[in-house]
Amino acid sequence: MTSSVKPIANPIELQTLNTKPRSLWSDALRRLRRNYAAMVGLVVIVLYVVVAIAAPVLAPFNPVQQIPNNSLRPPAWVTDNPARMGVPEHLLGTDTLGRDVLSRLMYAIRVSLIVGIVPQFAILLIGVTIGLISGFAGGWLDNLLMRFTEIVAAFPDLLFIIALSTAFRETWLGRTFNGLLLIFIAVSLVSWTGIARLVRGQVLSLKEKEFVEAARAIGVPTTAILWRHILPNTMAPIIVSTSFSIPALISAEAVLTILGVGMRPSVDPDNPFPTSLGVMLTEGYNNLSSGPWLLSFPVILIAGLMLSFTFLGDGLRDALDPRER
Amino acid sequence: MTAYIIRRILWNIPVLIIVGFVTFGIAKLTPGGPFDTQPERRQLSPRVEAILRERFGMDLPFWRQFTRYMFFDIVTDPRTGERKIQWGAIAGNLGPTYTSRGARTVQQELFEGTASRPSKFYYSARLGLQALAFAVVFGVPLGILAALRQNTWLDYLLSLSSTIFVALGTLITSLILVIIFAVILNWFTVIPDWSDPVKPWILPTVALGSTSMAFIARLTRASVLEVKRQDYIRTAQAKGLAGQVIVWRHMLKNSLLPVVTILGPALAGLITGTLFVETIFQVPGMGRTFVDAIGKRDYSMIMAGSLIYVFFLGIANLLVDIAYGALDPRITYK
Repeated sequence: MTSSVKPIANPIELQTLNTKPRSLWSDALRRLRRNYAAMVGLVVIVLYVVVAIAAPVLAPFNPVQQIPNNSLRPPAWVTDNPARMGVPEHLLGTDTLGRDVLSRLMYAIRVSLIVGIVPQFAILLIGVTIGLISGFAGGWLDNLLMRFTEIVAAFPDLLFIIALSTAFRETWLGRTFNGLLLIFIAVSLVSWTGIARLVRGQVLSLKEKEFVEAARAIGVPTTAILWRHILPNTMAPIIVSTSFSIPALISAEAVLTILGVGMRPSVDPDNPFPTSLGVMLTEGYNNLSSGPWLLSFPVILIAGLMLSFTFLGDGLRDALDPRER
Repeated sequence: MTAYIIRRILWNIPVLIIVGFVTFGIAKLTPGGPFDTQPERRQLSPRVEAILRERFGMDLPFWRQFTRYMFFDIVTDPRTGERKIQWGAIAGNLGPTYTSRGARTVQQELFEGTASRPSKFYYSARLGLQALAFAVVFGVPLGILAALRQNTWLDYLLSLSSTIFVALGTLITSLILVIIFAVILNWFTVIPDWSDPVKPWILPTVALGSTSMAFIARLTRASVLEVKRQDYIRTAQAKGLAGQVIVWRHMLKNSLLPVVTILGPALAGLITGTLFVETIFQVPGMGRTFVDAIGKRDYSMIMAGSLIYVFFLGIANLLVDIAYGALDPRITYK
């Protein structure tokens, strides 16, 4: 008889109601932690970053050191050819010039991570600025900026990047940072259109929301509305889009290098960024028949890096936008 | 509808002109010219170079060179003194190539071929169309299959593999295919024999189409799942229609609409993909030619590359829009 009567306020329920409401970000973090694939991706990315930073300590050899009579040694576990046996000192073998592949890979990860991440700042700066202005201002300015974005998006982006890289390759710009600065600039100039459109769409819907209207009604200045109220609400899709853009840039560097207009490999033993995964893919592809491991190992590493960022991005999207499933 | 199509076609004209202008600017900014790309080699005598430059109009000011290439120029015949209009890219005259033997034009270099030696355009177009067909023919059924078997191991497997293909992109997929099928299994030679009508096409087609295929499969799956939840499907089930009829007539017809929209971006991916897929699989197509042209400062070929790609992209997007409007009666274009 007593069991059929439900107490109106269960003390335990009251207690949970009294706890502090969780913010969007802590909620998202909780959901992200439960996503197995995303967490694996995150761990792998952290591993890559650790190897990249600690490359001088971890690498058994200097990445540009050419050891005589040591070229094209297969990985250590390949011992079927007595003329060219794998040796334990060179775990992943050596390349055509007798350089240790494992050490080169460790240094190459550095450059590929930088190529994936550094241009994002420029891309975000251009894309978010244009998207914010376009969405918030509306009218002729919106029209003008969106037409401009449309034209940039219509560009055959890869052809544009190749042309730009070729044009400035022999100038100081093309020599700075082994030619990577030029890649950063070329890639940033054409890759911001997606972010701009995304932010504009978000702003268009956000500026009609009640909280923006309320802020305007109590006289909050426009810049403060943009910075304090609209921009933070566009963060989630921006973060998701950026995590998908990182693997795209890593692959773009490899494409450019394979086509011969990418990074210039360095032979200076003191250079902290002597090679990239793109350079190693190119070298491996050019020596496909004599040393297939030269292509296989960089492919495995670059694939692992790109997959990790994609899984993390998928997880972030599910965590930040629970409706999209 | 007609007004919309006309407006879309007209919008492509300023895009082409601006893309052409920027490409021309970058090409001209590049140090060196078509006659002095290799400083270490023996150079042309200055007199010969001056004649060549005059012959190709490279002594004119920048804007004259641009309008001459893009639109038209009034040239005076040196022998008769007769003045006549020489049309440019808008009339399909893509200019002379500076690197080929003999006085060949870009359009001859790209589009002219014989039965035994097909043109460069033939290789690129065939590769692109095959890749698109591959992507649609495999992507759509796999997407439908995944949706109909939602939350089974098959669905998870298909979803995981499409995520992986999309993440890896065309370049890494190509290299993995090379490693597996050309090096480990040795089914294909690394240097292709193009007299064979089938074999050398398989790997590049799969490599170029796989990313689009994964995209299409993913989108088809989401779209079928969306339709599956609609009320009219429940109505069809309630009135006792056979499962096959529901799937084919009600579900698939309605769920394939969004898939059409992705064909535009997919085509864009295929077109840029040809640039390096042709390099990796040594396809003698346009993509490789354009990349080489940039290194050789072959101005007309660089311009042609940009313009042709933008032109085909514009057409592809327009066709997708029209197809979408024709398939979905709810959509009207103003």
